[in-house]
Amino acid sequence: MSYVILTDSACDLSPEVLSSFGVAIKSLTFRFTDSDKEYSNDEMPVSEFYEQMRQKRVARTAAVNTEIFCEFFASYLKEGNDVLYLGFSSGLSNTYNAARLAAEQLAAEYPERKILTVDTLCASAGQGLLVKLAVDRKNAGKTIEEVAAYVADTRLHICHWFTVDDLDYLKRGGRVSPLVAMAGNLLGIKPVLHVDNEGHLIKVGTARGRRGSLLSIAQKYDELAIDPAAGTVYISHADCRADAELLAKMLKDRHGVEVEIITDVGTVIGAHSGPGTLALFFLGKER
Amino acid sequence: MSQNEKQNTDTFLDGQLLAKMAQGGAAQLHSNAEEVNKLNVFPVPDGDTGDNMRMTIESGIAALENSTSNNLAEVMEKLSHGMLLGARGNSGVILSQFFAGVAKGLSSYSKADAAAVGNALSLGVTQAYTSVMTPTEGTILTVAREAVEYAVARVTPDSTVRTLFSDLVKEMYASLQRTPEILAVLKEAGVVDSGGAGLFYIMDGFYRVLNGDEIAEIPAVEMTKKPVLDLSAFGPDSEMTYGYCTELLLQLQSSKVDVDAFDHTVITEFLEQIGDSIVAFKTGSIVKLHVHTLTPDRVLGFCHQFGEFLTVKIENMSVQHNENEELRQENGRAQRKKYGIVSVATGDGISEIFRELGVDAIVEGGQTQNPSTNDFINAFGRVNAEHIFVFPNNGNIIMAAKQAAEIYKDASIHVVESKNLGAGYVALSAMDPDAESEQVLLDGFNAAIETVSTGYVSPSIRDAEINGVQIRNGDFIGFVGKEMLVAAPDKSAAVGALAERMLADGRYMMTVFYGKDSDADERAALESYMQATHPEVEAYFLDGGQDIYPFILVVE
Repeated sequence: MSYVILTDSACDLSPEVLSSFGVAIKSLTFRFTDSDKEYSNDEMPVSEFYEQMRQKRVARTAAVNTEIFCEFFASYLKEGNDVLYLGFSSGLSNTYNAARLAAEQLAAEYPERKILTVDTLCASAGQGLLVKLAVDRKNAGKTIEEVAAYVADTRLHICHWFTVDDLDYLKRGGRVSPLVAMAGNLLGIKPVLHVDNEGHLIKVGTARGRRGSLLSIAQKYDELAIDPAAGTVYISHADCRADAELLAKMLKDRHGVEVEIITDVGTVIGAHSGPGTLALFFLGKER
Repeated sequence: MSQNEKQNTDTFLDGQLLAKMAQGGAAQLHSNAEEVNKLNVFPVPDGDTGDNMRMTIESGIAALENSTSNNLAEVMEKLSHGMLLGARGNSGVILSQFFAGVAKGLSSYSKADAAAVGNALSLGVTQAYTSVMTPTEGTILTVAREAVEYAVARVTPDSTVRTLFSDLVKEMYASLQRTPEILAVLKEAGVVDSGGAGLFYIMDGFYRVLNGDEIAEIPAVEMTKKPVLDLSAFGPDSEMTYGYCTELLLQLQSSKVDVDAFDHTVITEFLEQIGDSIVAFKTGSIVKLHVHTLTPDRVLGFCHQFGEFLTVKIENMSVQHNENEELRQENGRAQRKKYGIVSVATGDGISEIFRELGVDAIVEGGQTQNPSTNDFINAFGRVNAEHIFVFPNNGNIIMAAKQAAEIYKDASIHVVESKNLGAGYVALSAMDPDAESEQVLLDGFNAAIETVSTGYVSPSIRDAEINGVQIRNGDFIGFVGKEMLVAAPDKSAAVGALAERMLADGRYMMTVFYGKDSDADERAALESYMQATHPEVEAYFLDGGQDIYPFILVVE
């Protein structure tokens, strides 16, 4: 039986990459607090978005709601496809829950179709990386159940290590506690964070300087990567491509690994983490 | 003076004589402290050995105030205890340890002859040596050891205390003159060892008293800074909200309590009902107390049942600026934390930056004003934590911090050996209040220190040639640790050249602390220089407000 893999815009994969994977997304939306205009992911170039944030405009995001998921899923179900939706971490957004409710509602309407949803507990290109691995399995002929099981088994091996330029963005969005933000926001001190097993953002440590934070992230790779020389590695960055390339070079120098994708941190994640966010994703022994 | 008494004075050292000799030693050092300060390896106006040793012995003298005892052991013990608490700088700590050793040697003597005093001096030397992790020859240690060995070897049954000190002082002077032969840095700078010189002046003063010379009165010294009082802050209609900062030293009295068995928590528990910000500890038979309360009369009344007061200080906190600041900080930490931090800092900017980094109590001081052992003990008392990490941030302050750590018992004290501002600043960023154990934190601090190098820019106060760097009086010099790197007539040129030297070998981050003596133009010049020549370096510019050094560069 044919099935499609679907995800949402938090995966931070470009339209080109998504189309090469054969994966469709629904976009979370954002708006600036000083305006009512609602934007979807692709309605504003990321460079402009971060420029607005630097100008102190505050962006808020909104989860995809159940109704939109119902329409989204139904469009595939109608054509006789089963649906496997891999959703943005429930620890960071209600989007996954909306998708799960949509799947429950649609189950009665399409009793002969399979509608599976998996909470990836991932974000940004970590979610993107997991989607990619799922697509690989699908292309290798695995069934929808097998792929869903694979995703559930693998999600806690997707390591997310990242740094931000200014913890105030995460604090404002309620993604880290004010106390953590204060301790990590001193001049020259950069936080090192990751996404934990519940899909929450956790500040793990601090580093001296931007370069120090990149080194800490590279050290996490040394420590945790399952296949450091040849594993699939993604990097996402919020308007700091040079740093992303520097990090890629550090990994290449240390392990000979080529980073497969360097992608933009999109508006959904970027609205919370701010310009200067730099994140590394890879398969590790544990998160 | 009868013949018999004269004989006695000459032959035996007793309590009153020791007290007079100590006065003489302090006076002699006082007159020469500035000269000792100038015996500085670098031509930087930051020498402080003379002041440190002077304040250390003066703290011992202060402990003898009102003492009428003629018992040698008692007087020596008081003197030495006062010096231990008042010790500042490495030379001050070594001096205090020397006297502590002597006090041990005399602990069973109500009066002592030359042989016994000689033995005690030998013990003093031993203790001075053991107080230093890696003793360096050519310093105060050598001067003390050689002089004591010389004098003790010449003790005969006919010796008197006066002849002992005559030999001691004579050889001490000779030994001092030899220090540049032992320690190359002294020779290069053309000076004798400053700590050795301080010890010489003290012992010389001791000898002068024995010799019957007139000794100068020591001018009264202000040992602690006066807080800023704003009397207009409390008027006829003011409401008493902050209470009184009440501090006292209570001498426990055998007539009132069992002094040895007395547990000061009795006082603490009472104070908790009528005040806060309570600090109390017992050293020997003395209880030291600090409390903020609306009813200081009740504090005095309660404590009076256990002894008599040595000192009492009661200040209305509405008019007492420093205390308000302290109170504000203390309100935030009613609960005992797992980890606390005490750091030395000088300059308003640096203190504020350190507070932001999580320092609970700042010990004022730095290069020119080294804090005493007691300053550290007081700071420990202001931090309510199980483990207290101490950042001395100056090589010359580490020993006083360690001495305080030895004495203080109400928390586990860990001295992090940060030898300069940069080391402390960078290590403090590794603070993690949720760390698993104190060892994890210590390892983190020590690892951080390893990555830092701190460079100082200062005016030079004399011509010199150090490390092959030609320096003229008035030049600006740049150095890292004990390594002189650059000298230039122009401040901006000096700081630029120092930055270049420090940024070799792939360093990627530089934090600059601006001192009082750098103006806006010089600061802007440095910032644009960095941007133009080192855009790859992450540079941060902070207003440190420190004296002496217009620029301190911290490179990682």
